[in-house]
Amino acid sequence: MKRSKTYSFRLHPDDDYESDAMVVIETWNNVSINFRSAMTDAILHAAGRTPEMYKQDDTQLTPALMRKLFSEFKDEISDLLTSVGKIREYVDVEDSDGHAALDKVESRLLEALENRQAQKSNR
Amino acid sequence: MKLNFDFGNADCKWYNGIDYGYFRHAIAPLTDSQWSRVSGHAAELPLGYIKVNGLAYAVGDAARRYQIKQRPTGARRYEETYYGVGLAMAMSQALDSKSGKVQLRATHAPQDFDYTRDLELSARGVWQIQSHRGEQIFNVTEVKTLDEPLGGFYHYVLNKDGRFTKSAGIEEQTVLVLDVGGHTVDVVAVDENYTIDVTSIASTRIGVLKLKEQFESELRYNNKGRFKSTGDIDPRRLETALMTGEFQFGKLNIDCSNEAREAKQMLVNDVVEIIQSAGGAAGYSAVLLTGGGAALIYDMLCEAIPYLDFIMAEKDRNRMRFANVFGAAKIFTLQELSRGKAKR
Repeated sequence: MKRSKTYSFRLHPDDDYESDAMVVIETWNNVSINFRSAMTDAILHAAGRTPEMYKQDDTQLTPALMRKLFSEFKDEISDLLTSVGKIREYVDVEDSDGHAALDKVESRLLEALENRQAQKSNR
Repeated sequence: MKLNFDFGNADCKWYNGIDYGYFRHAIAPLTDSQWSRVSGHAAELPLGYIKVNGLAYAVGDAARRYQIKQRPTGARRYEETYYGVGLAMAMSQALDSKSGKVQLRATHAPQDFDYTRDLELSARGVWQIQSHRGEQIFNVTEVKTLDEPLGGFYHYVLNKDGRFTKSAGIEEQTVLVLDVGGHTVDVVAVDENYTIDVTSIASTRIGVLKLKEQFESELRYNNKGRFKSTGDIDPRRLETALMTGEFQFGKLNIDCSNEAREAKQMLVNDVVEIIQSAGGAAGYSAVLLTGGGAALIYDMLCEAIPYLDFIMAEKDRNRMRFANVFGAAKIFTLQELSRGKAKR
């Protein structure tokens, strides 16, 4: 069976959330739900079209229609991206001592600060 | 309460986690009679006048009205009756409470690293403050210090909750962080994967103060007639003129683009030399700029070394002077998170 995968250009497999999203998309594709179609339906629905209306509309999503939809929903998309960003910012994983778990880069950034603090106390 | 403070050689910047502000680095001790004249009739003290542990001062723009014998730079500022006064002014502006304990995160130029103990001693303790905000009393119980270029770097790579922001996008680059301050230009090298080389932290004694002096002197010389009876020029107007190339002289706009360019060119030449001697394009793929001075010379630096990628630590050029205090807030929040102390 031919499977189609549709990844948004924003998704990156190294990012925890984005890789989760990719798993969901792949799962949908595996059960023959096309992610792009689902998103298209969702956008058209938000644009006030009923399922009957977009079934009759055989035009597909042309670049012009996409531009129109994006301009109509520019603020909502912008809010969504901002709120998603906020959700990311507030995610904290704690270890058993209640300390936040740091990723590799954070540990490295902190190490530099602590090396410098150690230099100070050694003087 | 937490306060992030950068007692710069040109400006003193503060950030309380929500708001931020700055005042000019100028402190003038006042005599009893000068204080009486200022405080005698008004219901509240005018902005910039402050009594710190019983001693009176004019700070920032207000200090320009008094003769300042000497304006110390570098580690010479780290005295209770000097650094402490600047800190008291910052606390009076930044903290709404009438009293409380304060944890201070103070940034400093790397050349002052050996004197951070003096900085700590000059900040710790109880501060009784009388200012336009009324009476306040704060106890500075903890002082943490941070090199300024590190502050700029942390501001760029961490979000406001102290967590790493993946959008920084410089993991595969070697980056030279360059902090252009009032009295020094400081650098630190960051290798791939955000590995900071703390041994590379260094200061060079050049900065924006000289640039401003040069600009003012050229502007006055080329407009002798107009400035004949002008005393001190408002530093804010000079700064705007440096950025825009136009000096607002009453209703008149004086074109000073040549003077501005010449003054900035001198600093740009020095900064280019620092970049080249640190390894230049052969050693780094990008230069991350921080500090208020960097905002002034960003465009000219891009022109001077077109094959290097210049990034500003703060997107908003008008907030570049705060990048180091913002970064201090972020990295110490991360440190507290790692130790389980941060408020959620």
